[in-house]
Amino acid sequence: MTTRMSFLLLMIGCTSYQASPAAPYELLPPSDKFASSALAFSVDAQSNGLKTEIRVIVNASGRKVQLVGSDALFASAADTSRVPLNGFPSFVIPRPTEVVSEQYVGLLATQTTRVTLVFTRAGLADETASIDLPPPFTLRTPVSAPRSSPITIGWESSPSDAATLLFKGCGPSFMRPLGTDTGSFTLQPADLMTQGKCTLVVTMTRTRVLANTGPGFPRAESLVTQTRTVTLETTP
Amino acid sequence: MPRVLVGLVVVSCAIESEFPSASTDIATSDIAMSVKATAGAGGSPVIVNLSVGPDAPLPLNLVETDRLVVRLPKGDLPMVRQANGVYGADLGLAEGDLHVMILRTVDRPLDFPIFVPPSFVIHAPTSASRAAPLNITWDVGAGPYSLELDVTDDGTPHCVVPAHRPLSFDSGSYTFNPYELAYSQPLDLGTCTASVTIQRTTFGPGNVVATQTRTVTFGSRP
Repeated sequence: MTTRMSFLLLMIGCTSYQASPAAPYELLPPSDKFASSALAFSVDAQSNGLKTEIRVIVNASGRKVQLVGSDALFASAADTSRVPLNGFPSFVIPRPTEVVSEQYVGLLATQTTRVTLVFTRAGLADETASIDLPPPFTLRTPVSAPRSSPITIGWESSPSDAATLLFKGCGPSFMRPLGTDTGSFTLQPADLMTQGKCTLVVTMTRTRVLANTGPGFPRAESLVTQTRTVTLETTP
Repeated sequence: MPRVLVGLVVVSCAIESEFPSASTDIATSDIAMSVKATAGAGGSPVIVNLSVGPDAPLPLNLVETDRLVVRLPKGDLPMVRQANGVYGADLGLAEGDLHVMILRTVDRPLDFPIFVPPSFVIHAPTSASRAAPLNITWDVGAGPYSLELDVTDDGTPHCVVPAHRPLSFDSGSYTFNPYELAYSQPLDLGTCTASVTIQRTTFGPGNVVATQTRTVTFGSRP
């Protein structure tokens, strides 16, 4: 009997231990523990021609870092005023209450291809970098096209870049990468798995990786992208 | 002692399950059949797997008067056992509506109709630049069947971005755009042997798949 009771208590003890909530998120190291020269800023800037979204992940010693205290990031462009990059997504850790931000995001209403990134500490512009996006382009498609014939999409080429087209809306979505951006892509009649009329959504992206792993700000690779989307009506 | 008996029973069951069942002991309604007909330029094997049992089907061998044939317009083509529960035959140039049948005297026959898609020939250039359009043509056939086109290379070295194109209808032609099969710079280097494979596939009732496949090779250069 004593043995059975002990076993039961042990089981309850185990159940109670396993049910205790584990910490859902780990606190990120605070940025003010590092010299600014030890912080690396991975930038992802994506423009649709009217706005540029900037996302920055801050790392130090191989780990993500959270900006704290007076440390802050800002972005600006020649045709718009400076905006702060706010923490996103922000996780609230209950005990003790903390907010963890894994990346810093801002939206610039700019049509230019150069974004200026500023890291401030103690209210002073500590470091500044210019991030250049790929050349802009405009997608050209017919307003309406029969699928029984090839459909050609055109844009301003950039032979030093690659390009990726995404087609959605007329059957399963599919991608078509181009090793060299020729400024043109022709969709084949049998590419679209659909019947009747349908709206085809064409998105093209032109992406560059900016290597910046030296001592100069932002000390990490940047991914810069131009994205454009057009729609056209297709008929059988 | 009882533990030893249980062990012997388990071993006995395991050994039993490895032996195929004999067909004359099985009702037609309990026989499961999967058919895979793969017609290509180098031959047209049709492979049939016979089994019995709902959860862990056992291979089934045909014995005595039970026979497996492919019924063609010109007559029955007998299928030969290749392994336990596995039967094969070469359809040659056969295409269209065929029947894989188990002919038996102990019970009703089993009839699996299959539609082997029509044969075709692919036309591709012997050598093509990835910087230029690549036009591939083939004979348009009468459906219904699904159609897939694949381009790949032999890996010595890799020079073509693999492409898989499910086609919504048998267009008889497909044109790849310039650089659609090219890696981005500076990775787009060299020449290699690439291949185009077109596969027409039909799916029949039960577990029946019939394909008509052709492949041609071409030299790919920057």
